[in-house]
Amino acid sequence: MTVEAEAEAAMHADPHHIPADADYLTYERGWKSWLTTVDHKRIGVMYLISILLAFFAGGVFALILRTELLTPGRTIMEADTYNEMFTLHGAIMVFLFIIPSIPAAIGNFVLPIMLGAKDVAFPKLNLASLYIYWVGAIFTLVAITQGHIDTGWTFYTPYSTRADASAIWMTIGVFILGFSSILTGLNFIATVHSMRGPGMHWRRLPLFIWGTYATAVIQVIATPVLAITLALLAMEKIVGVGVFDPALGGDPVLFQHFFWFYSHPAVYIMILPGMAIVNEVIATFSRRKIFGYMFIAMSSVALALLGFLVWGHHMFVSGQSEYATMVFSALTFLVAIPSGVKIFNWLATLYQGSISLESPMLYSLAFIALFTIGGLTGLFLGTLSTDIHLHDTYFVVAHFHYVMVGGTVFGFLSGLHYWWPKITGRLYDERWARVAFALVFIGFNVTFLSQFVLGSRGMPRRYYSYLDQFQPLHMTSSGGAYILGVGFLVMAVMFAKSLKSGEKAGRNPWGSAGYEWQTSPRPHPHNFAEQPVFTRGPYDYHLASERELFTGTDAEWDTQVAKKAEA
Amino acid sequence: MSTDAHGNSKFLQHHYDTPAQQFSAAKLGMWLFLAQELLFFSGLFVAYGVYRSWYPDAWVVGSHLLDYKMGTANTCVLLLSSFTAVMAVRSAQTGNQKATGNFLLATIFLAGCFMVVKYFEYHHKFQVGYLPGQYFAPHGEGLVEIVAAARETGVNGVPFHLRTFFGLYFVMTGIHGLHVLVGMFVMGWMWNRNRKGEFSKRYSTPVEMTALYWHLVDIIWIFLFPLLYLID
Amino acid sequence: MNQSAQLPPQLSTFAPDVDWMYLFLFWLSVASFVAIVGVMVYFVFRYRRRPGVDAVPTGHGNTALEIAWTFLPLILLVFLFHEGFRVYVQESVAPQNTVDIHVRGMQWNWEFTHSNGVQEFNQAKIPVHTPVRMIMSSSDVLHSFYVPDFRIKRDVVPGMYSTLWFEATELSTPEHPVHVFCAEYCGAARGGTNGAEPNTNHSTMMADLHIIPQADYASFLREAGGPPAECAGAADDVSVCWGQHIYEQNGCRPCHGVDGATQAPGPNWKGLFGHDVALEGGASVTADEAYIRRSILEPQAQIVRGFGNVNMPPYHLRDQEIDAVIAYMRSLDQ
Repeated sequence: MTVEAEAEAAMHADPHHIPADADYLTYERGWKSWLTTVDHKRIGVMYLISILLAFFAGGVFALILRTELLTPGRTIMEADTYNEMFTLHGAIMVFLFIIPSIPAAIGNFVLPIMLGAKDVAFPKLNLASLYIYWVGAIFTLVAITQGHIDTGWTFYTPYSTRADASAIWMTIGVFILGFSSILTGLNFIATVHSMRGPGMHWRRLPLFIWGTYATAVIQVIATPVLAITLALLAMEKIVGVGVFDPALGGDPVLFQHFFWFYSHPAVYIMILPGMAIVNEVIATFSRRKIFGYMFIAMSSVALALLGFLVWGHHMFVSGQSEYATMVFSALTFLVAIPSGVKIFNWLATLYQGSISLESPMLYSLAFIALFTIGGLTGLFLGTLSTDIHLHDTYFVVAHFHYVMVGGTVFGFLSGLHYWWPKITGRLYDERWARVAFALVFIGFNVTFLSQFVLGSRGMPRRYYSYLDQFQPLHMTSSGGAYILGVGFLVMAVMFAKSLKSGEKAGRNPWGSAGYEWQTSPRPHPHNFAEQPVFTRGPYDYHLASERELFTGTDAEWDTQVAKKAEA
Repeated sequence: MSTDAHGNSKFLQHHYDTPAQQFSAAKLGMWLFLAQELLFFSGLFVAYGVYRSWYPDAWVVGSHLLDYKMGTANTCVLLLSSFTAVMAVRSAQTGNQKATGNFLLATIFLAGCFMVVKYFEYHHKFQVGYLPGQYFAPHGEGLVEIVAAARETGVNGVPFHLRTFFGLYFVMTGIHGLHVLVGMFVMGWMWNRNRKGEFSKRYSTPVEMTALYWHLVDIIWIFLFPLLYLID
Repeated sequence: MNQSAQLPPQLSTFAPDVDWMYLFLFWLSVASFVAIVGVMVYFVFRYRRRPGVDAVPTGHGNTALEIAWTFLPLILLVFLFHEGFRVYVQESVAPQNTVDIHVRGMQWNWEFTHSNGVQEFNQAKIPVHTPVRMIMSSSDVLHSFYVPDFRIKRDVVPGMYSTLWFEATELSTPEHPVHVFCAEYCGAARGGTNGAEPNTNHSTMMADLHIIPQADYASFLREAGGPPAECAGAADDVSVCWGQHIYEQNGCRPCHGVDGATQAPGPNWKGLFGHDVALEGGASVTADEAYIRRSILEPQAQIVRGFGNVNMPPYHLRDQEIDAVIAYMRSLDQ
């Protein structure tokens, strides 16, 4: 037999051999192939669809509640319904959208490829995480339809222990969602430790990996504490154990300690991945290695660890001891430092770069500006004297939306736009992307800047009705929300059109030196046809070859090569 | 045949290069899982610590109302079961299929004994009204025992927070018991896989991982037992 | 100091210090934001991609720079912590000679009890230029006592007492009292009627503080706490007038109608006194003086059928006040 015929025969004899030109989206078709897949890329895509649906639902609740807040009194609903609206907005956005968003939807897709691995360490566990997420989501839906969840997403006792039984459904749903998060984190840690390809030492890891790794550590350590808190809350409601309800001999402040012990690290689960994406996008669109690589990597780890020490800053006025309050304030200032380090390093990366402003870069630059506002306003809340005035007012609402939306969501959008061509193999319309960006940026700032002033003027949060003097700012804020909504609609239509009829992408449309851009436009089911060996860092533009940085399609490259050969 | 067309062990998954890499990843994954289990239980221990420091009387009386003989028996049973689990791993590592199966069965049996003793403990408490939280309503023999325990420990009257003690007792031992049941199920699964001849000198990872989990379940009991049963 | 448009009026001794810190942080934030975004915009423009101009490789970074921008902000942050902490200590340690007022938060009312035993609902007289300490607890769920004009806030927790203190610096007028808001979410009436009505949910759980001269407060403390002045010359019974005053001021009106029509959230008072009432659990009782008294002090004891889920909290009215309420109820049927 000839060599070629032997190879051909070998290929057909071995059912595991996948043709080199296969792509993960079309290699197998049908519902079953998707629901039983262990391919991290397909799992990532299914997560992406799920969290986008959750984002839409959470966004609808936001628009509803902002509509109610257009007038001081009743606008479209009664107070008890309004309370359910803000509870559902918060719970869906936190547990169904933002916590899984970047790690599960983008991390799952990109992390193994960046490591040079074929998949995550435990692919079946990955699929299980997705199923667990769906089960948790179903419990949440049941809770929404079964009763009146109006406890706020924070479930403070004793209101939550005495309120509607539907809170038990929600508690169980969030408990289950927590497991999905823990297993994702566990998988990522094992993957980064065990599956790095040849030449991929820790100091060469893309910073997206460092950020995702730090996030995974928090997911594994913090989430179980939420799980036990929710389990105790459910037990309190079902059997009246008496840990949190004073009527049964319990302590409501203890609940707050338990809750925030998880929920503060949780906000680092939210922001670290956003920062992780910003590293990649800034490097690519400045064509330069991130300045202070090791400092950025270590600052992610520092944030993950320090984040466990500051939970009491949510409780300065709760009735906890003054000594605890002072210690938590001091520690809170410490945790501000690593974030500042990142901002300065990103600016230093722009210096002497070669910068282009495509939409992924617009979102990452906006991240820097908006996260700066979010972080600075955190100082007002960490400072004891000002926090007494600002706690539980709209100032807090504005602060956390700046870091969670201006930070994480903008980071997520940056990543979504950035890796869209790699996930779908298609480009989107850059002009419409910029229109959507402008609407989202303007809408977001109008919505939330006004809320800082509402808060400092004394407007408390979670209020259904308010004093007349607060109406102009509320109307402004609601107007901004509508603009934000329109911006997302434009973006959704733009992405839908890209899926249907977008221009086919080359393997590296942004000309990045990152490794994931060396796979075919839609990656092979095993990511690479051959195991890659890493001989340079992911940001070494001066070491990358022209082929590696070429932004056109493979056909265009071949044409270019042919033309050069002729000349 | 335990190898496939590429000459790899059929238990080597497609995304790993070597069995050693796969085993090392599995171990790391399992230790991470155990870490988060520990943090899960730690919340309960914190609640226990807080309430014990606030209501020491209730804790002393409550502890005396628990049957330390049954608790000790359960402790011995679990310690022994950890030993049989280790022996199961050793047998799997040395390729002794029969011994592996027997030690797994022994571990399951001992775990079952634990659950049976637990059943008797719970049953007695339900009968005399030592129920968690708001359902705490001691009657008959239950009241007699409480008064006796209070006298023994020098506590004045019936502490109000006995209900909290029992609430935490049931939640902590109940969640631990659930973990024992899960462990029994997983070991049963391992016993079945062993029966089918899936484990050998070269591949005993699932048995080792199961045993790791089982040791954690044991260790948690080692802490629960003195904290709940042996307060003086 | 100058009043900032971002902040409420400064009506306590704490306010100037808190505002100073707020405005310091504000200008610091503005300056930092302008610097960071300014540098960013400048770099984006100055280093925009141009043909033939490559990015300069990053090289080995600059450790001195990293250390500088790690530790210099730290110094600033230590200053912020210290200033915030200093004022917090003042706010936490009440002076020796405070005027004490007990506060009880309950869904969705504030009950103030002065040191002479007189109670006020959803309003309180406060002496000006005097350290006043609030000793607070909740009858049901978490609430929070927040006075923006004073810049103070403290959660009101069931099962424990929390305190705060302040010294008001200006008199208020009846048209412009100092507002107290509840700042910890505490729910709303289920199947609510009008959420904008006072005292029906978290956002309408407000109280008015009337800052009065010290002499006026002193004489108020000496009063026995009898009927309000406007009832002195009442055409009919002073008691009826007082009872109606209590009905309107002490949190009865949001739940109990007096027109014979509305029966939610609580039973209507018209046609109630002297008639038979069916109770939850099947028994029935005559709504006499004893029943009315018990319904005010122990509302969970004999709940009217159909109102089992309402959870009316106890109202600690004094005996004479209960007598007045009963007189008012009787007058509704005449």
